[in-house]
Amino acid sequence: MTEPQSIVFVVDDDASIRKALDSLIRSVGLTVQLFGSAQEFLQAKKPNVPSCLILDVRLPGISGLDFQRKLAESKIFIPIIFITGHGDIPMSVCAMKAGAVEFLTKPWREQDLLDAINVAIEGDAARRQQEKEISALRDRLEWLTPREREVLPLVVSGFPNKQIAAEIGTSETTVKVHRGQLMRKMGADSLPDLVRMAERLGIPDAKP
Amino acid sequence: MTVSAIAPMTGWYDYSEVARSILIAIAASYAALDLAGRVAAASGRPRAAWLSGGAVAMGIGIWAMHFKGMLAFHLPVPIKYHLPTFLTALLVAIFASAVAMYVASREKMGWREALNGSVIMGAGIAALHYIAMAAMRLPAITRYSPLLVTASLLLAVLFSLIALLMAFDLREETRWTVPRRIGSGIVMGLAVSAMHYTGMAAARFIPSPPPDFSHAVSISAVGNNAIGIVTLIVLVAAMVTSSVDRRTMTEVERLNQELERRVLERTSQLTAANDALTESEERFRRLVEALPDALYVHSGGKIVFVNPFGIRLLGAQQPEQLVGKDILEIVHPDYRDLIRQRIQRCYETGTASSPQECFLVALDGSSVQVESAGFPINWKGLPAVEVVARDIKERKRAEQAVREWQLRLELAQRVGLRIGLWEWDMVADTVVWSDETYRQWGFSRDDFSGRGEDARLRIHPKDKLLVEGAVQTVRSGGSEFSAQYRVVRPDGTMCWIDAHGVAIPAGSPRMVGIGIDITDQKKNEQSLQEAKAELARVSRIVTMGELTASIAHEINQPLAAVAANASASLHWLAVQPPNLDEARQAMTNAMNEANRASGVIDRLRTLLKKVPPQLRPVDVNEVIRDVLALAQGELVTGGVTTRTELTPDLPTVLGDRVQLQQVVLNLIMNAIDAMINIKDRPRTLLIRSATNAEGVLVEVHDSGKGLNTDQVSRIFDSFFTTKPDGIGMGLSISRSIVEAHGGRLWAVPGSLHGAIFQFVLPSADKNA
Repeated sequence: MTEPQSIVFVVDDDASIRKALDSLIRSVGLTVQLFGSAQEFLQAKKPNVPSCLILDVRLPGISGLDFQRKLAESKIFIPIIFITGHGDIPMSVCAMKAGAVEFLTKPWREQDLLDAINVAIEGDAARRQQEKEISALRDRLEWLTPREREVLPLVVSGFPNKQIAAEIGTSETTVKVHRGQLMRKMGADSLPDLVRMAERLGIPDAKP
Repeated sequence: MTVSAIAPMTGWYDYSEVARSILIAIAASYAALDLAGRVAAASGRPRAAWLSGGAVAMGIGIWAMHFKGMLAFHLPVPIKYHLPTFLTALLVAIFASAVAMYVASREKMGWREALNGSVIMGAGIAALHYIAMAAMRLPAITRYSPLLVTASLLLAVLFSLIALLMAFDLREETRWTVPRRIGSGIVMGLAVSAMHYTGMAAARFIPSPPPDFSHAVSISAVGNNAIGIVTLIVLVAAMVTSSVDRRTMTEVERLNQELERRVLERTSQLTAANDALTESEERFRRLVEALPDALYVHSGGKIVFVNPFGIRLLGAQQPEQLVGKDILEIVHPDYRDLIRQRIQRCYETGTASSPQECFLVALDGSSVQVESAGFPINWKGLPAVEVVARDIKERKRAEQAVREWQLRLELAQRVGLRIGLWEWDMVADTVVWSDETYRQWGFSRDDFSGRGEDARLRIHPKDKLLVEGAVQTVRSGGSEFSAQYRVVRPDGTMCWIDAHGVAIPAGSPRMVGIGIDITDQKKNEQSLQEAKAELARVSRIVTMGELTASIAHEINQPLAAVAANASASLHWLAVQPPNLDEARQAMTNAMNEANRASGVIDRLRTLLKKVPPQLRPVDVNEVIRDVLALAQGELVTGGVTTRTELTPDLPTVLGDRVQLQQVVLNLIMNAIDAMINIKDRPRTLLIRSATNAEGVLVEVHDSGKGLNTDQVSRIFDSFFTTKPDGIGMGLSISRSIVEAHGGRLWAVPGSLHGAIFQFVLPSADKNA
């Protein structure tokens, strides 16, 4: 079986809901996979394609919100669309804060759900892309010498070479050398390019 | 003695003369005794007259006796008497009699007076005798035997003493006075005679030449008799006089006594009258002093008398503080003109003034409210006015209290307490009503006759007997009337009255009382039953409110499925080529889900519907399953594992399905709440049904926090709750529902933990 382009997971204890979602999602050409409980979902083998999770807030044994937290703790960054029989504001706020894509109250409007699914899958695809880029950058970062890693935050923070030299106790010329190596190793075409990379890597601004 | 040589002449006595002389002596003695009494009884001039008269009579009597005695003595020679001497003897006799009478008539006679008197009298008599002897003129010499002379003297004194004692003793007039006086007179007469004849015996006549016969007379027999007769006449006259006087005296004395008696009688009458007057005055004085009203008498504008209450009323201690004051001075300035006019009128018309309320001024300047009236009187001869003033402070206070009560009553009526007042004369059957009572009975003052029978026509027929019974209680001696009854007004409206009355003991049978309009209260009572049912329904709604999340879930779930299936179906139809199988399948699903949703709604609607309880055969297991379906969501949310052990083929019970569902739902919701905080053990709910002797038994077990003893006893009370936001009505209503079905609902602690709520309902066949 060939891997689908994307996949929609459904976790709901109500069989009729699962059945309805199954039909609906397939009817718009998406692949769907159904689970009766959170446990089943966790245990299932999931293909590594952009995907999203339609999750019932109220589940036997564990609530949807708790499950959301548990996934985050396990570094499973799957976009979640919550569906609930009755929504209340605190619950939805909680869910959105924890990164949910959407919080839909049953009975939802079909378009809202399909839009949410699209957003979620695109988001997941983008996230996967980003994750790929960041891991490439990290690989490059690995190549830097300790001295170059020391210089990097100062450069992206916009300090002049002279000040950087003073900061790390070396000559301006040496700093220029480090800087050149840095740019080359990271594959940055310009300083702004480097700054963006640093941001994505989460390198904080240096403070003199 | 030389004479003795010559033989004395022999004399003899003419004994008839002797007897006459003794008779005269006795008569004289009697007269003397009688007269002595007279002398003693008289005083002043009459006494002197009686004394001298008596002395003359007695003296003559004694003298005559002697004379007679001497004439009775005969000698052989003629005897003549010297008249002057003879008369001297008479004077001596009279003198002696006077002394005797004087002594005997004295108020007291001691021994000394008696002896002196007797000596003088005796001496007088002796003197009379011997003087008389000396008056004898005859041719003989008289010789006296000294011994006999002495004896005659002693006898004279002795007899005088006896006579005096007798006379003294006999002077009072008593019953036996006359016989005793006669006896005494005889003794005395004999005594006098004895003395005389003793004296005669002492004499011896010795013949001698004839003496000088000058002035001497001879007493003839006629003279002799005349003397006796005259003497007797004198004596009788004296006695008659004495007797007349005595009778007069007695009459006077009787009159005196009568007078004295009358005086005494009159005096005692006067004393009694005087006492009565004093007593009456005392009574009147006490009355005035004890009078609980003030009494002021004023004359000429000044107060002349005030009674103790009047003193106290004005704060004085002594009457002197008020007496002498101007009467208007104690009248409040505002009333002085009025009172002045009233006093004026009182004097002018002489009639009492009518009671008038006014104010007096006490000594300390405070005002005293009184009701006063004036009466014109005479005070020590002067026109005066007696004012009676009654302190009406208490009466005013009572009047004020009545007014205040009226105000309170009006206030009570204004704020909606509809209290009517009534009074009923049970004999005349007339009533007096307050406005509120008129309103309650639907009468107006114009159209009501005031007769009890007309009012009673409006009492609701069903309450007539009750009211009559209550009235009968009072008629047969009860003191209180109490009844709740309906009055039907002409406009068809009804008024419930709670009437209470008390019999007035005084006068004709009468009752006074109040009637409270309790129509609203009665309506409330009537609607209480409806309210209870409504409460049960509201309680269901409240429970449903708690179930909102679950219910929404229950409904939204199928709706979401319907929508999703419908959308899917559309999509399947829209693709090229349309996928009809998928579309059909989706539509079928949608239809099923729609049915599921409507089933949920049906269940909800029956639970919330406002329908009166209906008794129908009910399958308890079905009730449990329905409720579990409703509560499913709640149970899932609460993390509760539900288990049922329903005995199949339970007998049906006769009951209201919805109400029984409410009971089960309530127990399940309570079980979920009891387990919400349980973390250390599974939250399990077990519902069992079974048959037992009483009918159908349902048990709801939970594994929650359980019940303590205090809670077990109180959980079925209204408003008792162990939940932070509970209202405490669920179990109370559940129990009343179960009991209304003839069953019981109770709770026991679970075997390990939690609680078990159980109820039994009688099965339908048992009920039938």
